[in-house]
Amino acid sequence: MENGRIQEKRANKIEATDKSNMYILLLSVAAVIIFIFSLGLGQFEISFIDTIKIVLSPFFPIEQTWDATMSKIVLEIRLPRLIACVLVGGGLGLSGAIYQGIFRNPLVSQDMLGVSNGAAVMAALAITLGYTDYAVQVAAFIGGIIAILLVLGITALIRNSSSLVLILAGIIVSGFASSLLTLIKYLADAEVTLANITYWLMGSLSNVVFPDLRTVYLPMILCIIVLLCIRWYINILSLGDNEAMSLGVNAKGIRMLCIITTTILIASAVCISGTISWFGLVIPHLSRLVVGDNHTKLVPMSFVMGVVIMMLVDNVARTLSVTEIPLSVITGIVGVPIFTLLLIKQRVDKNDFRS
Amino acid sequence: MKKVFLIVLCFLMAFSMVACNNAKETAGNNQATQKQETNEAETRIVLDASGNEVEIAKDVKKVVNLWNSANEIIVQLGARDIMVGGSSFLQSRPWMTHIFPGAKDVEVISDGQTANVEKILEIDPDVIISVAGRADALKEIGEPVVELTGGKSADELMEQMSIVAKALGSEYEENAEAFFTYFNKNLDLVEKVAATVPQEEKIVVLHGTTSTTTIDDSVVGSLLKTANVTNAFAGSEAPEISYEQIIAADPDVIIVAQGNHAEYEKFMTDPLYKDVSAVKNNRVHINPAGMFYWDAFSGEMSLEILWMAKTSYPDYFKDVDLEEETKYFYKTFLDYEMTDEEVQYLYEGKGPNGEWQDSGKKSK
Amino acid sequence: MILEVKDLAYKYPKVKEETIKDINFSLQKGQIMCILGPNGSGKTTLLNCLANLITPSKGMIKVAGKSIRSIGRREAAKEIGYVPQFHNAVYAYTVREFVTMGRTPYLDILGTPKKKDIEIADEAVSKMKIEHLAHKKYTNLSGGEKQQAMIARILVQNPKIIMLDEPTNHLDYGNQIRTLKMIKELSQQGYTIIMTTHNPDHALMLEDKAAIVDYGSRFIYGDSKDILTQDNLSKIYGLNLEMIYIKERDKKICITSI
Repeated sequence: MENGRIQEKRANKIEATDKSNMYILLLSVAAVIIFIFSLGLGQFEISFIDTIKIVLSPFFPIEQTWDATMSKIVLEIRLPRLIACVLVGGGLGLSGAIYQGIFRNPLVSQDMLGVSNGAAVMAALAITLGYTDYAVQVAAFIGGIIAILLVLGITALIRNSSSLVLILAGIIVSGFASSLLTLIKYLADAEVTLANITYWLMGSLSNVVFPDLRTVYLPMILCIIVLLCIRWYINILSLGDNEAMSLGVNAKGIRMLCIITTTILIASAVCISGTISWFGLVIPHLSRLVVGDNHTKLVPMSFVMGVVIMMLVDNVARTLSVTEIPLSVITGIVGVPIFTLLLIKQRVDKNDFRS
Repeated sequence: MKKVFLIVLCFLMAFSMVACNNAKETAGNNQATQKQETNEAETRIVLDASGNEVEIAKDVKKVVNLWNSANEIIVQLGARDIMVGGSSFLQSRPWMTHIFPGAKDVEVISDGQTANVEKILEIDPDVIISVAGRADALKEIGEPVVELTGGKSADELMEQMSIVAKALGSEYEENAEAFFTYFNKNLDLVEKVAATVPQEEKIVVLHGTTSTTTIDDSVVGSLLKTANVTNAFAGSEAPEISYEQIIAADPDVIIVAQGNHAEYEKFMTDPLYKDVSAVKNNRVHINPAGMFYWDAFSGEMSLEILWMAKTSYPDYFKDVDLEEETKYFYKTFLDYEMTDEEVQYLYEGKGPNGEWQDSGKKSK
Repeated sequence: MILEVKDLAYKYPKVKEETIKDINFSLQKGQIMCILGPNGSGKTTLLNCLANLITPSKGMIKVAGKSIRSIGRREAAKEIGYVPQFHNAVYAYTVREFVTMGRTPYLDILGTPKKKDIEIADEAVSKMKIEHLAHKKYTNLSGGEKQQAMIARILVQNPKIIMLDEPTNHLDYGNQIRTLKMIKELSQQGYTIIMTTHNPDHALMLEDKAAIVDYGSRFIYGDSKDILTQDNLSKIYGLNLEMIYIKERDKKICITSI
């Protein structure tokens, strides 16, 4: 009898773990479906069947029942845009989860800690100085690294790396980067460049075409793979440096690796789409609601959730009205109430502000 | 489970990489086929303001405009019938819809900043007018985008207009030439007469608002020079100014930019400004705003220079009949008969029905 | 000898003098060593060196004949387990997930726990008799339960030596005694234990080896009965302590008056 009950408990335990994997798989399938469906969505009417045919045509010989404009729209306008959604949305969601793990704080994200703004400043500077492509990306990366080093430097100076101080340091660095951005805007040619920078900073995937992705997609994919591979170590790192080391893990090394790879991801995302706020913060929390805190499930879930939500948000941004809504507007209006509800639900006093 | 996930991920990545490469080929093919198609019809190459060589059909039947500053130019060049897409100001400026009622039927495909690419492709225009930096996606996919870059003097404005005219076709170039003759006539007249104003009578003009000024390096800045007035903020690099600076500059004349009625009221009623010479002598004027801002980038600047001269040195420009010139301009170049009342409204900075126009929106 | 420590010393970078120095001792398999000393004397520093959390400035530590520095962090983790004083749980892992983390040194470099690893964790959970907690969130456990989960994790890690940093500090009296009992059991199962403590009675109850770390880098080591004397203890705590022998229990206890 005793054994029977224990075995039943064992069966339940295994079910619980597999459920998370199932959710991840389901969401991944949903992502693929939404991707294909979104290819058929847009201001220009194209039937779903034609969309599928157009997408398959580079691979298989299919009789052409559509005109060249439709093909252009699907393959050169919508396809790169959706791929950008995958890279940026998945990348930002993933980065947020990684940040929250390695900094042992569920209230941080790359925009909270000033990394997005830092990348944006250097990118904006590079653009106004006339650089393009790789140079802008490298500049963005440098900006992001400087930002996170400043944040860590402040916590080291105060000799306090508790949650509160971390967030405060992030606000300081973010604010500083913001001021620099304002300076760049002030000095920019008011006729043309200023409006360009302002709009880009609000976050937009509009008019993303393949040449824009050419230089970023490979580093982004590599970083995503690396971060997905080391997800178990995030669990260990979240226990605290001493415990991590006692379990044989090079805490400082893994943390540095995570910071570098996430910064590459974030810098690349900023180059494609500008800054999108709240996303890196909210996506991991939504993922936690489904799969829990275990980073083995949380990290891949945050990636897929980020992909799905970004595609949905972008679909809204580009179809709601003739003129496009900037992404930060949507993520802010939707994300902030959701995040507030999450905070209330989790009853923040349980998690440490004083760790 | 993990294996399945990895497989899906690999598939997506492989797909995207292949898609990237394929799309590049397709883009190349598209451009090739487009070139083929357009070569079969007749095309010509036009050099735009950014230095790009743009291939445009000889016979332009559809033009789309993405830049708020170019709507008036296109209409003025006589292309209103072939304008099938415009930016938001096409329908939001009261004088534009008054003089060009068909504007209401033109599809708005840009808010001045981002263009709706899919709608534009649906329209399938023969040429797209834009300003540099806002039509990169359309350029990448091979659409005929003619980029303008703005300008900092009357000559540059005319250069940009001639690029638009060239893009539209030879008959429009003729209209442009005719306009340039008129514009240059006005400029020469003002320059000659204003040069006779002695140094001690030269006045200081603030063209701007309570917090911004027009800088030297702009079209209006150059018009101020032509009219032989001193810009109150000559030498300023940035447009932001402060109250103290205005008091120190003590301009003789204040021209409130872009028809901003609220700013006009501020100057006239706020006791802070009551000791400024321009306010004391009742020489605060609202810059007229018509189909587009007269003091931004518009063919209407050919009237702006006359009005500016007359406002600054009324005695010297007694012979200039502003009402007649205005009626002549709108009749000749925009095919519109202005009534006396409408001319009156125009020079009060008002809209065609005597209403105050939207104030303060900087052109995008 | 399962553990050999020779001429160990550690100096903090900003401090002029070494915090601990001339530390020499060795332990056999299954022995328990209690380290006592006043606040700030360097107890924790010593423990951290032994647990391979900080690198000593001088000296050598050998586990089962191999120098810790030479075998690398991962291998060292298979030999030495560490139970911290405070575990600040930020994320609500289940006890099962928490215990499985002890398998980290044995996983493939880019691996995640497989069924085998989870089974090992489940065994440790039943050994510690906390099956009823397996699916509870670690953050919801009481102090004593957290301690048990932590020990289960150490068992999964399967080290030769277990270091505990003041394991009884934040527990109620009952749990304190139960912890001591468990430490005794672990030593009987063959684990070598080193723990720091503020309570001389606890050290006396465990009755094996003891060490004292005092200011001025004073370090003495030996059998408990020789080290935990009235004089030594009074000195390090600055009190008038008496050691009394209770005949009925055949035990010595510490006593003092306020």
